[in-house]
Amino acid sequence: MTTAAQIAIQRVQRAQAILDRAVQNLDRVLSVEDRLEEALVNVAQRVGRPIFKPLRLEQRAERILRPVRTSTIFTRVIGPIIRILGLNTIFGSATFTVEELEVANLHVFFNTERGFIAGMERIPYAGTFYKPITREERLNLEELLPDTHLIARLFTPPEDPENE
Amino acid sequence: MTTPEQALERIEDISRRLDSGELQDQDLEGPLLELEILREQLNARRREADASITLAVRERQIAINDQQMERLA
Repeated sequence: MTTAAQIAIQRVQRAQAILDRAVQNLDRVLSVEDRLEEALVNVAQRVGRPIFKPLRLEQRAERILRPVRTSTIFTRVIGPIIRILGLNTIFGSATFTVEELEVANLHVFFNTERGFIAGMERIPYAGTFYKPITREERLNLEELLPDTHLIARLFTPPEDPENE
Repeated sequence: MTTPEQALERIEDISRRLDSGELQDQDLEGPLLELEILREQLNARRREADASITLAVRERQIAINDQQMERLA
């Protein structure tokens, strides 16, 4: 193995480690958010201020399909994908991490300018499943999202530099 | 800034005092404000983590691409 190849592998590993830490940080926050919202609702109701609404669908989608954040991306990308793939059934308390998405073999991976979203075969929570993406669905997605670069690593596990 | 663990501790404390009756309805403005502040802080932490993830994913993809190029070379 050349030195350049070794350096490339090290860079992948470093980036993975940074990603792992970032995901852990996000999970720490998300693990508290639900409890906070619950407490807020309780207190607000007691003082007669029903100011806290349940999360909107878009907010849930942003949490589930993180790290996508902008409403523009939701409107133009996530919304159509949710409709095409029939992902509405996942909306609940389920959350998963970017890392878990990649461990679970991506079925489709979209890269956008400002984030990414991914569909997968299975969500390891509450027995909720995504259906695998079909060729027709993929074509529909590509047709619907011409400005989205489709990487489409269909049925392909993520890169694993350790196996090189 | 409050850590998620500290925030959870405060949330649980407020909830416990609420459930036990230690906090009466007229005493709740302070806890409500505190919870709102915690919420803002958690939102800020979440945004920060989101940004880090986005950056790390890009970095990793670039590194993977370079690795593949190197393999082909």
